[in-house]
Amino acid sequence: MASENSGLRYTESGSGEPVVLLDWTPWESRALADSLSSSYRVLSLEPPAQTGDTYYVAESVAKTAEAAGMDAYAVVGVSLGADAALSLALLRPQSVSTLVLVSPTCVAPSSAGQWHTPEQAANVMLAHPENSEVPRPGPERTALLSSLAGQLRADGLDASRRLAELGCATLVVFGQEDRLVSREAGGIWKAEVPNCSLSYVYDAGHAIAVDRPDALTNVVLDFVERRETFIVENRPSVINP
Amino acid sequence: MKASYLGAMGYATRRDFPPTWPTPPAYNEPELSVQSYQDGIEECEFAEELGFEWISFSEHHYSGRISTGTPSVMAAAVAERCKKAQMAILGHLLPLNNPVRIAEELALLDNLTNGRLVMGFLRGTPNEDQVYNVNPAEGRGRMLESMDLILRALTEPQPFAWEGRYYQYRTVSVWPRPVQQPLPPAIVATRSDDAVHFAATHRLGLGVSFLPVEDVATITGKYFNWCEEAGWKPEPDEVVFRGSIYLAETDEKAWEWFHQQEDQGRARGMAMRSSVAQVIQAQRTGQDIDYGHVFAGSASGDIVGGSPGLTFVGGPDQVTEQIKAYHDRCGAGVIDLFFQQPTLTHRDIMNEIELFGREVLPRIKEF
Repeated sequence: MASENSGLRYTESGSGEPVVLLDWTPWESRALADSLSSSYRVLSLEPPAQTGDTYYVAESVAKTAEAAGMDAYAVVGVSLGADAALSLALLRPQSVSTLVLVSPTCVAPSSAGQWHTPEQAANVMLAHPENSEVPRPGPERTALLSSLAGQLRADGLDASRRLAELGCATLVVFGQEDRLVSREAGGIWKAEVPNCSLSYVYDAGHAIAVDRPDALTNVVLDFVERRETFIVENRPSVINP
Repeated sequence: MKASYLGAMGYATRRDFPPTWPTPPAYNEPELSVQSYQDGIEECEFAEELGFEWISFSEHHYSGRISTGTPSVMAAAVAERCKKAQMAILGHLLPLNNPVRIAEELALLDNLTNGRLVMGFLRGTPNEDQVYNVNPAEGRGRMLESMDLILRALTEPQPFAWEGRYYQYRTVSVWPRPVQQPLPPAIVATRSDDAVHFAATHRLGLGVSFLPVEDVATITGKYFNWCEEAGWKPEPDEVVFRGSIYLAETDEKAWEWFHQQEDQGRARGMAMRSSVAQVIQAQRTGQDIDYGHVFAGSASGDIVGGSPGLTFVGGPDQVTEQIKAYHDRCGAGVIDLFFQQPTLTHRDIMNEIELFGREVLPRIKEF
C-alpha cells in the first residue's frame, strides 16, 4: 500500500497499540514485523524511493502514520530506519511514546561503512560474512538503501547532536560486531539520551536481524512491551516447584 | 624470559588421596588445611623473593591437589604478601561461571594489586563440567561468549544489556574499572583452534599447558600467523607455557626420584575410570555413547584425566635446556611452573624453589 500524503509504501498488520516500523537494511525481512504484529498494530514502512534529507524522510513517515490514524505510537527503526526514527522522535516528540533504535549509524560512524553492492553490504554488515550460507541482500534494495544512506548524511535535523532532547523511553541496540560504528557509539547514546537503555547482541554484526534474529526480536519486543522495566527479570527460574 | 610460580596450594597430605575425583571432603582436616594454605602462601613469597615475576593461580574444583576453586580469593590473599609480582589468574573456568561476576572479580583484583593483574580465560578439564552442572556440549560456546562479554564489561563506560546465546543480562555496569587501561593483560589458555583464533583476532595473549614442545610449537605457530593476519605481533609476555617440574641438584637425582614415582604408580596423576569421562568427552564432541555401561556416583568418585606426566625433570642444566626449547621453538616468554608434585613436602618444595632461583632463573632471564 502507498500513502497518498507521503508516497511511502507500507504494510499494515496486527492489532493493538500502534507501532511504526522502519526496518531499513539491505535485507528484506518480515521477522520483526511478524513478531510485533502478534501483539501490536504494526505499520511497516518501506524505505523511500525518492529521498531528501533526514527531515524530509521523518516528515514523510509522520504523515503516513497520521494518515493511518495513528496519533501516538512506538517507533522501531533498524539501521537507516533507526536514523530516520531518531529524527522522527525529535520532530514529533508528542507522537513518539517509545523509541527503539537498532543499529543506528548517525552517532560515531566508523570509516568501514562504504557499501554499494550486495557483497559489500554483506562484508561490512554481517558478523560472519565468510559464511556462504547466510543470504545476501538483493541488488535493487541494496542500491536503494545505499543511495538513501548517502542522502541521509545531509542530516536535515542534525539529529545526532540533539540526543539530549529525546524525552521518550529509548532502547538502542547494537550487534557486538557492528563495523559501521565505532566501539564508543553505544556509550555515547547511553550517556547523552536521558532515558536510554543500551543493549548489545552477541555474535551479531550491523545486520542483527540476519545474524541473530531471535535475539533481536526478543529484546525489541520485551522493550516495546515493558519499556524501562524490561531490565527486571520476569521469567520463572524454579526447577522443581 | 620470565618465570611464574603456580600457587597450587595443595593439601599437605595429598599423597594419601585416592586416585579419583572429586576428593571427598572427609579427607580435609581443618587444622592441616589452614597450615597447607599458609605453606602455599609462603612458597609464593619465597618464589617472588628469588625472582619469579608472576605468581599464578588456577581454578580447579573439588580436590586438594590444586586447592583454589576460587582463584580470585586466593590471589587477593597472596597479593597482600607478595607486593611486586604480577598476580596471574590462569585461569578462570569461563563455562562454569557467571561472566559478569568474573569481570567484577578481575577488576577488583586489579585495583587491590594496583595494576598487577594478568587475566586468564580457560575452558577447563572435562571433569569440571560437572562442578556447576554445565552441559559439556555447551562449554565451547559458553567460553567464547564469556570472553566477549567479560572484555565488553571491563571496557564499556556506560551500563548496558547483553543478549547472548548462553547469557542474558539487562544491566551490566562493572565497578570498579580496572587500573590497567584499556585492559589488564589477558591470556586465553587453550589448545583449540577457535579459541586460539579468538585470542589472535582480539589481540590477547595465549597460554598452553602440559604438552610436548612439538605440539606447543604447532599451536603457537597458528597463533603467530593469525596475529600477523590481524596486524599485530604479541609481546614475549603474551605467550605463556605451563608445565610441571621436578628439579634436583643433579640429573641423576632428579631422574631417580622420577622413576621412583613411576614405580609407585604416582606419576600418573589421577587415574581414569573411563565410563564417566567418556560420557563427558562424548557430550563435548557430540558423539553417541552407550549409557548402558556407565556407572557413577560411587564413594570413590569419578576418575578423570590421563597422566600429564612431568614437563621438566632434571638438574639445573637439563631443566634450563628443556625450558629454553619452549622459548626458542614455541615463542614462550613466560614459563609457569607447577612445583607441588604429590609426594613432595612443603620443605622439599621450598628447597626446590631455592635451587631454581639460584641455578635456573638467572639463566632463563637471559633468553
